[in-house]
Amino acid sequence: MDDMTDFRAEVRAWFDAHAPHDWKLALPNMNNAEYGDFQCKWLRTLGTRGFAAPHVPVEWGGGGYDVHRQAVIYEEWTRADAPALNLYPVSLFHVPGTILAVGTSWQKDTFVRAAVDGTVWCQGFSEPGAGSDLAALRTRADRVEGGWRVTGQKIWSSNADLADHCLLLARTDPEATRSQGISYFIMDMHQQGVEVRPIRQSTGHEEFCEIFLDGAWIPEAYLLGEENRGWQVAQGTLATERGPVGLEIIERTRTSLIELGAALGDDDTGRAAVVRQELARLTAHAEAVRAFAADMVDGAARGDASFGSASLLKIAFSELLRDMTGYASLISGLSGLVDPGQRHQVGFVSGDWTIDWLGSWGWTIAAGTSEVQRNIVAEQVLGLPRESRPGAQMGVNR
Amino acid sequence: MTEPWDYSELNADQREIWDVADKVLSAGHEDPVAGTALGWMGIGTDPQFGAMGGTFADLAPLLECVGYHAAATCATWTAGIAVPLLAASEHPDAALIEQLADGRHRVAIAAAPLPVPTDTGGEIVCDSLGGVDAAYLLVPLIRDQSVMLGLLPADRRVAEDLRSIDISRPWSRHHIDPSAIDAKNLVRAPDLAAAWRCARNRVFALDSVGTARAALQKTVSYALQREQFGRPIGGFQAYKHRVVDALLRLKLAQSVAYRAAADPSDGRLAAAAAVEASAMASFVCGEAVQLHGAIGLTWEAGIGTLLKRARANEIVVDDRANAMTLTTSPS
Repeated sequence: MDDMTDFRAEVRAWFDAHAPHDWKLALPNMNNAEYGDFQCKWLRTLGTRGFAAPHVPVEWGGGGYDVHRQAVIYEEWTRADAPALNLYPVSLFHVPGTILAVGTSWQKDTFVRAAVDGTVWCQGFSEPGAGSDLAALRTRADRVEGGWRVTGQKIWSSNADLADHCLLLARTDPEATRSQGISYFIMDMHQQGVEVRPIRQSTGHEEFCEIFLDGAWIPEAYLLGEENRGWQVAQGTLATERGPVGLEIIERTRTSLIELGAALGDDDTGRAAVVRQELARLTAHAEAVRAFAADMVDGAARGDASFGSASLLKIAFSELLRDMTGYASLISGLSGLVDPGQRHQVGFVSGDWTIDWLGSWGWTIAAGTSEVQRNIVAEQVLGLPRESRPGAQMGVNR
Repeated sequence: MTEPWDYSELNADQREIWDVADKVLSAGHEDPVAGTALGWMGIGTDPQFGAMGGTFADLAPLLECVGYHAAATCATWTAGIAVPLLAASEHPDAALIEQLADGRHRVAIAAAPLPVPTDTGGEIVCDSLGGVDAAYLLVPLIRDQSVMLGLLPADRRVAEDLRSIDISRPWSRHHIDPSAIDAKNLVRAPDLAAAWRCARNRVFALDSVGTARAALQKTVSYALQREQFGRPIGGFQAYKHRVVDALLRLKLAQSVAYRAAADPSDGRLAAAAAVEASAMASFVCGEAVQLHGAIGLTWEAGIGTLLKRARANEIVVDDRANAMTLTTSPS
C-alpha cells in the first residue's frame, strides 16, 4: 500500500511538471499538421516514463505497469487536466494487442515500438455493408507476385486521414463465405490506391473517415497470422477495445464526478440537493463499474478471465460515459449550449460536456455495439437461445 | 463450474461459507436464528469475545446468501453491525458480546439514526430490523449534532410488530421515552456515526446483491422454460437484452459490495456499494416481475417477496448522508 502511495506521489509530481498548459486554448486553431505535432510531442513526453502505453511491456516501448498502477496513472493524468491521446488509440492498444499476440518477430520489431513512439495507425474493419455484421465484408485482397492488391471500401476508421498504417481485414478466398476466407493485414496508408475522406461528426470533429482502396499494395511480410484465418486474429483486436482502454475512461469519468460533487460544496438545498442526489447515484454506479473492472483485472492476472466479462465491461463503461456526460451537460447551465468549436477531439471527458455527450455514442456503437454485446452475453454466458441469423457477429471499428 | 451470478473473487474459505449457508437456508429460510449453532453471529469478530474470528470479508458471502434465500435470520445485522460496533467500543462488554455472538440474546437495529429532542417529554419512535422479542435495540441517537449509540434493553422501550412491506424479515417499532435513557444505555466509541453507517451500508449492499441474484436466476430459468409463439421466450432479443441488463447491474453491484466488504476503513466505498446495490436490486427484481408476465404479480411466485425486500433495503440506505458522502471528495 505504501508502495502505491509513493508511486502516486511520483506520478502526480511528474504530471505537475510535464503536463502542457493552455492547450485547450490553442487547440481550436490547430490545423491537422499542428494537431499531429501536438499529440506526438505529448505522446513522447509521456513515453519517457512509459505513461503513454502503461499496459505495454517495457521491451516493446511501454511502461510495463501492473493494472493497479495503470489506474493510478490515468487518475493522475485526469487530475492534472492533461490532454488525452486521441490520435493514438489504435497505435497504443490495438497494434500491441494484436501484433504481440500473432505477429512475426520482424513485424513486432518493425511496428510495435514505433507505434508506441508515435506512428499513427487506423483500423480498416467496417464497410458500408458490414457493420455489426462484420463477416459480410467485401473488400478483396487478390494474390499477386510477392503480396496482394486490395480493392474495396472501409468506413468509420478513426484518424485514417493522419494514419501511417492500417490494420485491415480483407477477403482472400472469394469462394469461402462469411468469416471463412478473411485475412488480416498491415497496410501502408501512404501509397497510390489509398484515398481517405474524413467524415464530419455531430460533435463537429472529423475524427473518423472513409478509406477507398483501388489496387493498394500489401507485401507478403505484412500478413498478420495465417492467410484466411484473419477472423480469429480480429477477435483478439476487438478484445483490446473491450478491456484495457476502458480503464482510462472509467478513471476520467470517476474523477469528473468527484469534481462535479465537490463543486456543490455544502449546499444541500433546492436545486443543489436534487443535483446531489443524481450525482450520488452516478458516483455509486461509477464506483461499481470501477470495482468490476478491478475484479476483471485481478482475474486476468490469475489467468482466470470469466467469459463474457469483457462484453459486460464494454457496455458498462460506455453507458456510464454517456450517462455521466449527459447529466453534466444538463446541469452545466447555458454554457452547455456553447459549441467550443474544437476541430479535434480532445478526450471523451474533456469538460465540454455537451460535446463529450454527443461523442459518447462513439463508445456504445464502436467495437461491437451495446446490442451486439448483449447478444453475446445472453447466448454465450446465460445460455439463452439464439435468434436465427446467418453467422457470428462482431463490431465496427474505432 | 461457476455460474454467471457467482462472485468470481471468493477464496476457498468464503466459498465454503457460501456453500454451508446455502445448504442451511435451503432447509429453512424462516428461522429467525438460523446459523446460531454454526457461529454465524460471530463471523468477523475477535475470538477474544468467544466469536469465530475472521474478517468482514469472510462474512460477506453469508450476507449475500441470506439475501439470496430472502432469509429471516438475525445473523446479518448481528454479525455485520451490532457485534463489531460493540467490540470496537471504548469499554466493550465482553459478556454481552458473547451472548449476542452465541445467539443467547437477539438484537434489533434501527433503520436510521434517531433524533432525540432536547426538551424532555414525549416519546420517540424507532422503526427497526429485528423482532419485538429482541433483548436489545441498537440505535444511533442524535442530540445536539452529536451521535451516541444507544443499546436499549427491553425495559427502556415498548415494542410492537411493524407490519412491513418486507415480509421476509421481522421488523418492529419501538416507543422510547428519551428521559429513560441513561449513561448505562450508551456505548462510547470513536467515529461512531461513521462506523455505524459503514457497517449498515455494507450489510444492506450484500443483502441486496443476494436478493437480486435470486430474482435473476428465477428469470433465466423461466426464460428457458416458458414458451410463446412456439419457442422459449428467452430467445427473443427484446427479452434477452433485458435479462443481460439485469445481469450486468448485478455483477457491477456485486463487485463493489465485496470490495467494500474487504476494506472496512473506506466509508465512501461502503456508501457507493449500498446506494448502487440497493437501487440495482429494486431494478432487477422489478425486471423479474415484468419478465415473468402475470405470474410475476402473484404472491405465490415469490418474486414480489424479493422485490419488497429489495425496496425495503433501498428505502433504508438511500438517505441524505449517503448522498453527501458520495458527493464529497475522497480523502
